[in-house]
Amino acid sequence: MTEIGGLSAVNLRKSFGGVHALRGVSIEFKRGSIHALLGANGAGKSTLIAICTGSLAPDHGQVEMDGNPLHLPDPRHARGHGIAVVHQEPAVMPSLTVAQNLAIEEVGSMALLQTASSARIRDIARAKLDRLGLDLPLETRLGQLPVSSRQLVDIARALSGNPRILFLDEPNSSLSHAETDTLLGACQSMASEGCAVVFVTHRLREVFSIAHDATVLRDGAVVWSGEAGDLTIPEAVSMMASTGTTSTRESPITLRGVMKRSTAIELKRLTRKAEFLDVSLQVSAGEVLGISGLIGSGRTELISSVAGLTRPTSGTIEFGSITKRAWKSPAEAWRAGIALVPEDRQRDGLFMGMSVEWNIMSVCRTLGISPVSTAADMVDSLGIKTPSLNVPVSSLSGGNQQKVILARAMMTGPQVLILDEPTRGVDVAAKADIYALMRQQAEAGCAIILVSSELDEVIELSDRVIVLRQGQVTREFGPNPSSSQLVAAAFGEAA
Amino acid sequence: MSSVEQVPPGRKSLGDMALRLLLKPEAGIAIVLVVLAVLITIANPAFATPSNLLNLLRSVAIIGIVAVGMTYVMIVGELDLSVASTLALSAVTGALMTEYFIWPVAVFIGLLTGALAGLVNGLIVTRTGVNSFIITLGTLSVFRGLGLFESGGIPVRGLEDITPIGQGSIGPIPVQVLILIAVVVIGQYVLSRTSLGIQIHAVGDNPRAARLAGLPVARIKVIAFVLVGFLAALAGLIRTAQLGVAEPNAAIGLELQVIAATVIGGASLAGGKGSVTGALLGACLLGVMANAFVLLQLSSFLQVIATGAIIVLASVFDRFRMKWETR
Repeated sequence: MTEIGGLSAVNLRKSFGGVHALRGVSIEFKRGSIHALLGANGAGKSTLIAICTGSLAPDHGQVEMDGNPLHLPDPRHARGHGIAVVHQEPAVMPSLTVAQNLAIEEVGSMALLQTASSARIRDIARAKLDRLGLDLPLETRLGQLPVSSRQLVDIARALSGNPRILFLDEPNSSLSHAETDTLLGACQSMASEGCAVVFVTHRLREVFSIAHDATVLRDGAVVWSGEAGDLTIPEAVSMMASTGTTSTRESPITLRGVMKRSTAIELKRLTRKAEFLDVSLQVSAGEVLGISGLIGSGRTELISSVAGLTRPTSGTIEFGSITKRAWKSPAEAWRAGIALVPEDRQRDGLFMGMSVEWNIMSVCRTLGISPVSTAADMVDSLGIKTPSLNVPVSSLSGGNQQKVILARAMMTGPQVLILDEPTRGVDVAAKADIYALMRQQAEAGCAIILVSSELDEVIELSDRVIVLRQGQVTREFGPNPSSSQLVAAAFGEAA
Repeated sequence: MSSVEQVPPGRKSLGDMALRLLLKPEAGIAIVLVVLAVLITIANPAFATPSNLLNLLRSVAIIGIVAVGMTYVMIVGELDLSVASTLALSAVTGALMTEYFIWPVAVFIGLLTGALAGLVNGLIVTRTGVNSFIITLGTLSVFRGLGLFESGGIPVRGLEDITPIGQGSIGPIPVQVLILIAVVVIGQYVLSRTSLGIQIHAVGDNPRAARLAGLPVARIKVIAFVLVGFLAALAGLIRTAQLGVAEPNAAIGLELQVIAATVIGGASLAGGKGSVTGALLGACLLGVMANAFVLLQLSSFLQVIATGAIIVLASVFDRFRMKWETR
């Protein structure tokens, strides 16, 4: 096959609010080649794909097709250049039929009042499915079919446009083995026809079985690029894992090695259907338990149940003298002494239009929990930079917003503090403050559950780490696991 | 490419088709409608007389026509509260134009006014991204005010030439009922058989996916708004023909009945679903209830309560049906 030309990313840089997602990434996706794009959570894969497919503009650098710079203001332009993408989250219309979903682009290019007979739509749809050797009920509404069908429809649609470049971002997360084989076969035939296929997946074996080239990203930079045959899975895993050279790294948490105190919370075979299965763990007072795992491994789902946002379907939560399957409501969990700092502070945490003081006191006031301090003292002790207690929290920087939501949790005097990605999108200084705060809370006897995609963070702060994969605990580590151990466990590889 | 064993699509058994029809959301309303009609006839046989039924349909025409357009707007995930004001403004404008133009031109200007009102709504909503509920709540007042302003608040004569569409009939069937049927048939056809119809569903169901598939999301929404504006103007002209004057204060509160009919017919405020025939049936259901309360000499206050209860019941039932379907 000709391997001339293709799509190149040239020195792409992108940052979101001071956090670098891409730090000068250059990659070449060659025609006729299947390119495995590898990296742990937050390595920059999705950002790279978003830029190459026109849904995000880079801060610096450009995308080139066969050496010519491309102008990609939106996804439509990208498609015009033959760049197709299958997203992690299938972009489909559940209340339309399978056939209509498959033929929607053709329908969109018809004259508005032109008759789009169902026979014609079926023909277009069937041709697209035939190409993949798939069979789906064309006249059924897509929403009535399982999630894998949505993914298949999305894939069939992307492949049908004869793209020159095809990006597949975790296209098989819900596909069966047979369906995955079909997909991999289709990728190979696309490549043999001269298409550049870029494949992102967390199932390494699959992608290694078909990839020609591979690139490993870490912390927004390329750490390895070359022929896939020159790379073994263990090597890839250890490269995906950070080497821990970040400048924020501090001395290990003071509590490590300190004698364990009484158990603060214990989960026994906690299960919530389709989210997590048979999770048993215990956290002692003064201990930091890190929960690691890929996005979608059930981390957030698990702690949502522990904090009373969702109800487990079986198993028990033992908390002090309380033993129960589920909290009646988040309020009950708060009152019992479980505080949650959610992953997405703007969506799930803060009341953005309300004042700093209002936000810090909100849980205590609405639930009638006696606050352990005053808002002013909390602002001082956490070093929240705000002109006054009365400004809306939306006017604060990301790091300070995060501190506000931490302050809110601490105000309730929790025995268990659950932190989901507590330093996402905050600057280095705020990060150090938040780490110090966690240590301080642990020393004061609070049990801390830390969920984080940042391996360094988990390793540095945790007394123990459990790794979730597909909703189950796969490994448990003591203090100071190596990052490659964590990554390997998260990817289901032995290391 | 068809294999020998394949049953050609579109040629299905009668039983199959009956079953599919029963599973449609419209079937539920149709059944309620029939049951209600039977009960009312038992209570007062005057209900089932042709003259009463034709009168009933005549009264349904205006709400029904606007409800067809509202169905389009709701499927794209928007709402238009300004339809009643658009109706009055268009009728008044059309009637005023008879002073300067011959009546066909005046009628055309009346219809154009409605379409323009819809265009204004659609452009503001899609350009600014402000919720259509708020925008059309504003234009509800603006359009009503325009109609009052240009007429000085006084009913306008001048459109006597179109009286037949409000009072005439072809054979036994009133002209406005024929217009209603035509609007429903065309509306249903466009929605279920044309490219536009599929795009309207796609945009309402998942705007992000529609955009990624290259559909002109904003333009599709604007088209829906223009259509409901146009149909409101058509309804306004029919009303003018019926009464002989165009009233600037016509049809106040009509938007609620139109939305009620559309929701009863299976549309959802979340977008993505709705049915023209369902909206027609919804309008008929409201019409039958109104008629029944007169025939059975019940308090009209009770009618207000019953109308509200039906809207609540219809949407709650729909919720359960959806849950049951996706299980």
